[in-house]
Amino acid sequence: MNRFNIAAALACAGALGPSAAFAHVIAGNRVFPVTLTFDDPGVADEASLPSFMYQRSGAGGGTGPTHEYDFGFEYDKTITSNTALIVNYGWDIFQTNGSKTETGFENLFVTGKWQAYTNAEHEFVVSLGVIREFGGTGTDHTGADVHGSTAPTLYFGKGLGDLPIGYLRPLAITGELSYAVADQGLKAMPVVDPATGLTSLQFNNGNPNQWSGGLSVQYSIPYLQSQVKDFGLPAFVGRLVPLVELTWSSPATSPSTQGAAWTVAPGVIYMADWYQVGIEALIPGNKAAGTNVGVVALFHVFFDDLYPHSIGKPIF
Amino acid sequence: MRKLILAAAMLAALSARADAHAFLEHASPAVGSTVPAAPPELALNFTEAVEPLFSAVEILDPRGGRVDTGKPHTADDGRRLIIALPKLGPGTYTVNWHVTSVDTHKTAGRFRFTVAP
Repeated sequence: MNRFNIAAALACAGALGPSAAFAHVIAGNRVFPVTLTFDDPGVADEASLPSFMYQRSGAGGGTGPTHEYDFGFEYDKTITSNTALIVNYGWDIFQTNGSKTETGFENLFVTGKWQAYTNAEHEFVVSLGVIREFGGTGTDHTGADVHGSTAPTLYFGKGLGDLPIGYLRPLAITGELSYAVADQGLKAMPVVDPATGLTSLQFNNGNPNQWSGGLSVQYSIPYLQSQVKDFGLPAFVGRLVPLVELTWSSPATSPSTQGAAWTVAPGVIYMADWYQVGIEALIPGNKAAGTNVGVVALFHVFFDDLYPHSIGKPIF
Repeated sequence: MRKLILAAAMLAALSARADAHAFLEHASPAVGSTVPAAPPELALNFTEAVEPLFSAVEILDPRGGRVDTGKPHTADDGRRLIIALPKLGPGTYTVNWHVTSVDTHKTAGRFRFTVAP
């Protein structure tokens, strides 16, 4: 799944990027878990092994529906304590009723990320990053684009634990805003049909520049139990973080072949000591994002907890 | 078979974990609780062992004055941090803690409890 653009991917099954690059981060008393549909505000040594997405599309017509299964892999490596390189790759399966199953790799994504500001007292984090999609590194017949893009990206996270709001203190908000500059712009050329004399538009294989973003609202039960009030909940429940994620994308330049798309993803994350597991429904927010509910899941390990003296620490 | 062995090796490598961040599992007096009598000590139970030399607990009375005295010590293989308390009067107390786990990860937290005889 495209790390910064699930909504767009839902809108155009088969044109997907690799699975999300995520990082968990601690700011003061707050632990921001790894969100499933867009990136988190921090840097860490960790990996997604793997993320998984299922989506059904194209139910109408003679060949549909298509069942799409995406497996995403990610490795996050800290260079210094507040900078990291993140590598994403993915592998997709497309099963269309009555057709041969297609499989292929997604394009390779590499992200450079800087956790620029951390305010422990106010549970606030801001990061800046650049996401580079390497076009042509995936399998074109399963939708990997031959052209890449470069996307400056802003990330933020804010816990509400510093506010006098009682049982709402476990709430936190995280977000991401990205602007992808396409290597090859989309161009429309008017073509006249000699038979009818009618003029139509023909597009090249480029892409428009694109805005995309994500927003999550999460309620941390671990925070509730350890910072607000210990209700003596069962250990399993005490490690859950229910959340809702919203992802959105929109073309930023003309011409474009698709409109804005947005997706809502309610779900829950289980936070263990050295890993987390999460699952969310993918609910299209508009027709451009699809018409069927999908699912996304993630198994994510934290190398800084697993191997704090070797691969789990910054290089410098 | 080779894939099974590889998967087992990966699982074993992941399972052979070192130590993680030390998060507060529970406290006594409990987080957000009201106790009828002044507790003689405050105990913080963590998910991982902590280093007492690099850990601290601060307890503030309702007026913001510190009431903790002395250094905290550990028990239960380092997972429990204990600090003695003077005789506390009625009121709501704020506990600020920060600890370093044995693998040097740092975590912090804050909560309140109330003494209401």
